[in-house]
Amino acid sequence: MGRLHRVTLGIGLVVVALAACDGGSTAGDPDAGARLEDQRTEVRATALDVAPALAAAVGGRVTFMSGEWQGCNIVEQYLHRNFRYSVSGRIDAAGLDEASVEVLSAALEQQGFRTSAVEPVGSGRIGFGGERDGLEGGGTLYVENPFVLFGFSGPCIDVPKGERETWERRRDPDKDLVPKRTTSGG
Amino acid sequence: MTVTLPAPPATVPTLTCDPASVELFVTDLLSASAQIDDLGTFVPGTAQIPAWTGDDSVTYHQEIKPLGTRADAMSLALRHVSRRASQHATALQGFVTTHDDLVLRRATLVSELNSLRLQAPMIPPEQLDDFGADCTQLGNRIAAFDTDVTALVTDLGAEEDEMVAAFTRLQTLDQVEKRYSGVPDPADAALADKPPTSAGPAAVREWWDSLTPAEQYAILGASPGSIGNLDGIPASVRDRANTVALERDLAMLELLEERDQLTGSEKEHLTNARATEKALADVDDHVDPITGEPVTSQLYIYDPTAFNGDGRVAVVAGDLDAADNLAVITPGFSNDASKIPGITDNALNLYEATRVLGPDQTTAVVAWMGYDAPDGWDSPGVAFEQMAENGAERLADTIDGINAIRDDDPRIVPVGHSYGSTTTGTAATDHDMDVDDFVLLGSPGPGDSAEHASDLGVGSDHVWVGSNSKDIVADLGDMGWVNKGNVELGLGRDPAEDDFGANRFRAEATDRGMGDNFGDHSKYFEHNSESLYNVAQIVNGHYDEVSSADHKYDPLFGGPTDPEKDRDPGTTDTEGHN
Amino acid sequence: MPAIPPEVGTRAGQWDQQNVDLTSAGSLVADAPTTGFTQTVRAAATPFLTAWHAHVQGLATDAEGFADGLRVSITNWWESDLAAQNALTHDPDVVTLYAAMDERR
Repeated sequence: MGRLHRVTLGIGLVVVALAACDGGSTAGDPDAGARLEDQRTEVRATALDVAPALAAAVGGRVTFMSGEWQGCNIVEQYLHRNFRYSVSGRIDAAGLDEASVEVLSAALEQQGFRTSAVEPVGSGRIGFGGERDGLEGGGTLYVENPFVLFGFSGPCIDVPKGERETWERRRDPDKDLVPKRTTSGG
Repeated sequence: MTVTLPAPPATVPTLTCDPASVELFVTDLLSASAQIDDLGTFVPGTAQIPAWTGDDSVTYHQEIKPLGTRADAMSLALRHVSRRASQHATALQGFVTTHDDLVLRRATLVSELNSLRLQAPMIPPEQLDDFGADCTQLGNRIAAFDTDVTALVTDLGAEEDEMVAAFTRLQTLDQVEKRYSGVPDPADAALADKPPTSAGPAAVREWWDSLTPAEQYAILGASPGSIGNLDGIPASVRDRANTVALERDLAMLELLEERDQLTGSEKEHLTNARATEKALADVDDHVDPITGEPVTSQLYIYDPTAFNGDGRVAVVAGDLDAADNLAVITPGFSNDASKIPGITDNALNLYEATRVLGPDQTTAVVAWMGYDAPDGWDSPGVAFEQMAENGAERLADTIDGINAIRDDDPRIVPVGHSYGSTTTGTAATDHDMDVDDFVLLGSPGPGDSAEHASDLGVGSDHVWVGSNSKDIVADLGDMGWVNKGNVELGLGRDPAEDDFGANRFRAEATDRGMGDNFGDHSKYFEHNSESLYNVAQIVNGHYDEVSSADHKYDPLFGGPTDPEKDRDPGTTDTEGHN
Repeated sequence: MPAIPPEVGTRAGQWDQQNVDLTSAGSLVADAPTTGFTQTVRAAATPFLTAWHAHVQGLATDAEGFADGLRVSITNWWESDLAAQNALTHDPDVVTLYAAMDERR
């Protein structure tokens, strides 16, 4: 008789536990909703301000940039306990090379960010980043066929248990800060 | 000598349109056409009552006949307009691309012209010839540009005229019946040649490729259900067919909901349809982190009433017909079609991570809720084995279908999470699957037949295991000399142990719990986690970039040991934000 | 009057379902988005959808008409043939017919 024919007590317990998981007991911040809305405004304003400055520092332009709500830490299957607002985008420039990442880091610092050391983050990628007033900003330079991905994010905020599903479903209807297409074609 | 500066380039007219929205229009018309086609089939078929005699019966059969004829003509007409609109959407996409290109070209030409204008007053006489040559050269480019602008305007106008004509020629019922009454449906002959499912996906692909585009579109309108979940049909076609079915379901079930007439099973059906709609919308709402273009979504499987109402659905982030690397995520315990948005979120995270870590490669990730997973009540004992075996067969069929639609040889990596890793492992040992690697996450065991990684059929070097040290489910498999006996805890061996012989990679959660817990079992697809980073590298085939973890082991003296428990979890960047 | 087979009741229910399906198809046509078209094309798409919504609604109404017609036939037979009614009260076919009289949709 194969193992699977026998009563799988452990698995049964797991299934019941997963089905009945109460999602942790963290109460969350009762003002989380308002704080996350404020964070959206703040992160978008920062991105609109700083990303073009980064692009200008390397003689390039922001090709696209959009923002969205994000879950941070999962507390149970498909459900996060905390959320933040994050903006992502890309910079293209003609003369990008490995040295450009120092220029980008300096430009970030000039915008008031307390920057960390520039360092490789994997094969062919160099990262830069920093923090300003609780917001994180940074990016990655891709060395081959160079371009830069960047992002700005607020801190993760715990939401009350009863609001987690609402935030999980939340989408930003006006996510684009710099749409991919610059014409009225789309 | 006089040098004349060229005239400024023509203005590019504004083009306001949205091809993606036109595709939604197409789907709505095609869905309505399919519904009307059903009426046309119903009247000469099921609606007949041969056993009924008498005057009422004669009247009934006489009166329904013209309705069937009208429905047939209407479905053909609406399908025709829908197809024309689909071609129009494709044409519009081309015009948008041309338009954008012209806008950029014009900006360059204007900049060069301004530069010449500024230089003109300062050109010394001896350089006038060269300057004149520059002006002539720019003038020629501007003339070519002007020609292209005129061509865009002309071509767009012609295309608009044809689309308008398609609408106006089939607007009244008279027009419809004059043109389509009694016209045979091209779908009927095409479907008559459809090979049986037992013929396999390659035969299905051959049949599909043998059809004309008109026949293919006719089948989409007449019988989307016959190809929506048929292995061997290209993913983009299945997506269109299944989207038609989804739109029909939503329209019909929401009408019943509005009338407060939903039965219990219809409520479940509607829940699954809405979950599918949300999962697709989530994909559509995401932009590719490298290109900034919307991520392609595909509804690869849509069978919302399968498995006694649990449903069977697969949503793809990316283009399964064309991507370089394909991953198929099989979820585990407590999942059914209503959970497809969460499974798709995991697929999206993996999609984004693969793109950020391999921007020169394209990816498609399938959120595959294609089997009946244990949900806690139908799960004990023998049911586990049967569910794993049934699921394994369906997963193997899906992989065969994907291989059949590709002429090239994409990388394919099944990724099983939790009990999904049991299903994946069983598929690997019981079926001949043409894949490159296997990834097992939070695995309670890869099934009874997998005693060693090499049993999975791709070589032990290509079996990868993510098992975080606080994941209580991943501790359930048998280890070392400890077979957990008749009170069986897991579903085979622990694939993270040294004796199993797979590659174990780092997968500790950034916010891992203090002790063994269930929460950490669900964190393998979190952005910026070790796990997601490593799975993405495996899907991309960047084996050297995968960070290895020491295996669990079970010494003769002392209990099973997991060295990862003593390592501080690291963070990685899977979003490009650093 | 000839007896009414149970299929008549079943068909009535199926015509009801056709009515639901076609009504929802009419909504799909009416709600199809035209915003993606250029203005020139949109101007033609809008009246097309209005006309087609009416065409499809016409089919839905006809379907419901057949459902109701079948139910009238059942009622007429039931009321005209009291003897049959008495004899067949416990006949499962008659129970099926009787159930069909309860219009679900």
